[in-house]
Amino acid sequence: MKRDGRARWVMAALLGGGLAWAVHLLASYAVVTLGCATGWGGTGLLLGAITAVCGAVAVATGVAAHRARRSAAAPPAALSGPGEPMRFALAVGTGLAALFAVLIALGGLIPLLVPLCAVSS
Amino acid sequence: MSTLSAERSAAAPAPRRRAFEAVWTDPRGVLGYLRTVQNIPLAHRYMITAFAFFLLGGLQALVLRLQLATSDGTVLDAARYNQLFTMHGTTMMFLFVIPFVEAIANYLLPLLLGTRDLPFPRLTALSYWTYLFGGLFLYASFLVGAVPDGGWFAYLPLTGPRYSPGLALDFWDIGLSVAEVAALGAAAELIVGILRMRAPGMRLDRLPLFAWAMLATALMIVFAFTPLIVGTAMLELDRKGLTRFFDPDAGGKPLLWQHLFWVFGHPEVYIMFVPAAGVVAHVVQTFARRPLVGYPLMVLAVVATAFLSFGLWVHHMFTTGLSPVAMGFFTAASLMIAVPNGVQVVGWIATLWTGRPVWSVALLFVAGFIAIFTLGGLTGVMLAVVPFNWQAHDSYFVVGHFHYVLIGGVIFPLFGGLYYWLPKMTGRRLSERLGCWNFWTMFVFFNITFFPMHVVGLLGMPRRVFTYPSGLGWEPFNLVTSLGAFGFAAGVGLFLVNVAWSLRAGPPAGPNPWSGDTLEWSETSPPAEAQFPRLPVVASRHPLWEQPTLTPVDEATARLLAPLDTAPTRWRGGLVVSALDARPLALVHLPGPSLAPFTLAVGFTLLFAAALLDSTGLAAAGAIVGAGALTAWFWPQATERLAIEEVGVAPRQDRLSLAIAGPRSNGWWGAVVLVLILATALATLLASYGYLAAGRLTPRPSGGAGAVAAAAVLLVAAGLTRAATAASTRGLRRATRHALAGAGAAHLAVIVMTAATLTGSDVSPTRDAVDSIVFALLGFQWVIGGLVLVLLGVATLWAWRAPGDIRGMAVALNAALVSYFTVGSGLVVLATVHLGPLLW
Repeated sequence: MKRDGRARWVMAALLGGGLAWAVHLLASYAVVTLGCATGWGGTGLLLGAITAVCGAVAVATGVAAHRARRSAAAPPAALSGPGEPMRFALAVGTGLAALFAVLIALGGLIPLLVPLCAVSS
Repeated sequence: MSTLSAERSAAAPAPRRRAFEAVWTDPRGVLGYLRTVQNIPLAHRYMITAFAFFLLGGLQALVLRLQLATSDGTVLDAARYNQLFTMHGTTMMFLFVIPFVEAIANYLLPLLLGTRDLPFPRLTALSYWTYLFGGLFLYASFLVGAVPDGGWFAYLPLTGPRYSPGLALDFWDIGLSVAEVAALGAAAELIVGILRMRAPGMRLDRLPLFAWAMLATALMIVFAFTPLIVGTAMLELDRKGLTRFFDPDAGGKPLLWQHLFWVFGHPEVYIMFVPAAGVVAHVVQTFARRPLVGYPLMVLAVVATAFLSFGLWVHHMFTTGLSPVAMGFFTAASLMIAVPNGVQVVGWIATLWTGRPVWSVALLFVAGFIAIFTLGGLTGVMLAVVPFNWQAHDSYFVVGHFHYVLIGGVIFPLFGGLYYWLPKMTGRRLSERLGCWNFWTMFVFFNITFFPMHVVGLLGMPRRVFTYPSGLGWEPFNLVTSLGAFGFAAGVGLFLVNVAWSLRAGPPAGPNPWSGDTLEWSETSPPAEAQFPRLPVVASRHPLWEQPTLTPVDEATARLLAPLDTAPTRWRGGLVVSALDARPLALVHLPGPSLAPFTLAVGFTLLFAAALLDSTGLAAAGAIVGAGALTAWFWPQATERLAIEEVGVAPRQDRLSLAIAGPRSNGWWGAVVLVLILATALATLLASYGYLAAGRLTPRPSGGAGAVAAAAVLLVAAGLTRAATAASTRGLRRATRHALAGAGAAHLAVIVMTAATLTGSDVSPTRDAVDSIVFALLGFQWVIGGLVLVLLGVATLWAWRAPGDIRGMAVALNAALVSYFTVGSGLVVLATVHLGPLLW
C-alpha cells in the first residue's frame, strides 16, 4: 500500500468510530429538541435511522480496521519497517470503534426506555 | 545510561561544536530577553508565571475559606466574595492549569521527542507574551475597582449589560480572549511538533505517552477553546449593545451561552486531566522499573477520552428543562467516559503491581492521585445520573467533586511530575525527606478540606453563597474545611521551601537520576540551549532501557542524518519526519531570536484594551503596532536564504533537502491547524444560528440574486486559487502572479457583494437575536475574507518581487488552503443566511 494511502487508513481507523458517535450524539440531540418543539410525529423513527446509520459506520470501521490489521504483515523492527505503526494504529482503531459502537447502541436504546417528549422539570 | 549522552556529544570537532552552540544561544540583556524564542527559557517563564497565578488563586481561596469558616462570617461582604470566587476559578482554570501544562509540554516535548525545538518558536514566544498580558489585563481590574464577579462560567443574564453594567465583566471577557489566543497558538505548535518533529524511528507505536496525551490535548484545545472564543466575542458584542444574542426581549437565549460555555467547559476538565495522566504514565513506568502495562490500551484510552469529553457538556445543564431523552444521551456518554479512565487506572496499578516500585516522592504523589482521582471519578458517575444530579446540583457536593477531580486528578500528578522532572530542569535534586512531608501534608489536608464539602452539600448547603445562618448543622463541616485549606496551603509552602533548598544546596542530579527510559534523560541536566547536537535514533519504546546506542545503526540513516551532526552552524536547523513511522523526510529551518512576537502581543493587548475602553486612539495604536510586528514576522529571514543555499530544496534520493513549501513543510501543517480552528468557529456560529432561529419566523436579507452572484464569484476565487498553485508548481511565474491577484480580487468582490446584500435589508443586529447571528455569520466571513486577502497579497508580492522563490511558493500554498476554506465557508454562510429561513 502507498504511504499516503496508509496514512488515510490510519486516520479513518482512529477517527471513524468517534466521529460516528459524535454525529449520532449531535444529530439525535438536535432531532429530539426540534421534534419535540414542533410536535413532529416522525421523531422516533428518525432517531432510529440515525442510530442505525451511525452504528453501522462504527461497526464497519471496526471490522475494516481489524481485517486490515490481520492482513498487514508483521514487519521487522528496523527503523524503516513499514507495518508496525500501522498495525498498532489499526488495533487502537478497532478498540475505539467497538467502544463507540456500544455507546451508539446505548444512545439508541434511550428513546425506547424514556418517553420521547416528556417535560423533565 | 549517561554513556549514551557522552557517546553522542563527544563526536564533533570543537570549533564546529562551538559554532553550533553559538547559533542556538539566545542573545542576553533586556532586549535579548524580549527576543528569546527558544522553548526552554520560554517554558521557564511560562511555568513561573503560571505558578505565580496558582499562588494568587490559592490566596483567594484562603480568604474565601476564612469567610465561610463560621456562620454569618464578616470577613467579606457579598460583593467582594463574588469577586474573589470569580477570580479564584478563573485564575485556576485559565491562568494556572492550562498554561502550566503547556509550559511543561513546551519544555519537555522537544527533549522527549528527540528534537531541538518545536516547529514554530516564534509562536511559542507569542503564546507566552499574550498569556502574560491577558493575565495582567484581567488582574488590572483590581486596580480600577472593577473586578469580575459573575463566576468563572459567567452565566447570562446575570453577566449581560442589564445586570452587570460597568467594566468588570468586560475585563473578564476580554482578558480571557487574550489568554485563549495564547492557548490556541500553543496547541498549533504542539500538534505540528508532535506529528512532524521527532527523532527518526520514533514511530506512533513508540511515542512516549506524554506526547500522545499532549497531542490529544492540543486537538481538544482547538475544538474546545474556539467555541469559547466565539462565545466570549458574542457576549462582549451584547454587552456593548451591538447585538442581542442572549437577550430574551429580542428573541435571544441565555441558555445558548451555557451551551457555548460548557462545550468548552467540560472538555476543559479533560484538557487538564489528560496531560496529567501522561505525566503519571512516565512516573509510574520509571519508578515501577518496568514498561507500562497495556500501552496500546493506554493510547486507546487517551483518544477515547478526548472524543468522549465533547459529549458530556449537557450534564452541566440537567436542571435547565431538557427532555429526558436528550439527558439520557449525555448520561450515557458521561457514564461511558469512566471506561477509558478506568482502563488507565487499572494499567497504572497493574504496572506498579507487577514491577519493583521505588517509592520516591514523585510516585507518592501519583499514588495519592490514583486514590483521590478514583474517588472524584466515582462522585462524577453519581452526578451523571439525572435524579441524583437534580438533588446535588449547585450544592457543595459538586464543589467537593470537582476539587477531587481537579486537585486530585491534575495538581497531584503535576506535583509528581515536578518532583520527577525538576532535577532535569534545574540540574539539582530535591530533598526526598522534605518531599515526603510535602506530599503527606498536601494529601491529608486535601481530604480534610474537600471531603466534608460532600457531606455539607448533601445537607443542603448551596455553592456560591457568601455566608450562611447558624443552626443548619453546616458549621462544623465548614470549620474543618477551612482549617484543612490552610493545612493544604502549608503543604504547597513546603514544596516552595524544597525548591528553594534544592536550587541553593541540592545535590547535582546528573543526566539520569531516576534511570528513566525516555530521551530527555540522555541530555545533560539542565539541558543545554543547543539540544541534541547529534539527533538520537530510536528503535524502541524505551530507548534508554533497551537500546545499546542512540546513534544510527545502518549506513543509510547515518548518511541521511550527517548534515545534522552538530550542524548546521550558521542557522538553526531541525529534522522533519513522517507522522506515522518517523521516517526522515527533510531538514527544516527554525527562526532565530526576534522581537516580533513580543511586539505583536503588545499590539493584541492594545487592541483588546481599545475594545474595553471604546478607544479609537488605542485601537489605531494597536493596529499600527500589530501590523508592524506582522511585517517583521513575515519579512524574509537572511538565515532562511542561507539554509536554502546550503541545503537546497529539491527532493533527492540520497540526502535530505530543506522543506519550505507544501505538505513537507511545517508551515503548511500550521495552515491546516488554522483551517481547523476556523472551521470550528464556523460550526459554532452555525449551531448558534440553528439554536436561535429554529422555530422562529426569521427575516431573510434581501438581495437573493446578489447572494447567487457572490456564490458564483466565490467559485471563481476557488478556480483562480487552483490555477495559482498549479502555475506556481510548474514555475509559470507570470500566470502565478496573475492568478493570485485575481483570486484576491474575487475575495474582495465577495466581501463587497455580501455587505451590499445587507444594505437595504431590514436585518438589524441591535434589534433581534436572529439578525445578530446573521450579522455574525457574515462578519465571520468578512474577517476570514480579510485574512485571505492579506495572505494572497503577500503571495502576490512574493511572486512579483522574487518570482520563482520557494518561500513565495510556500506563502502561496498556505494562502491557497485558507482561500479554499474561505470559499467553502462562504457558500455555507450564504446558503444558511438566505435559505435557512425556508426551513423553519
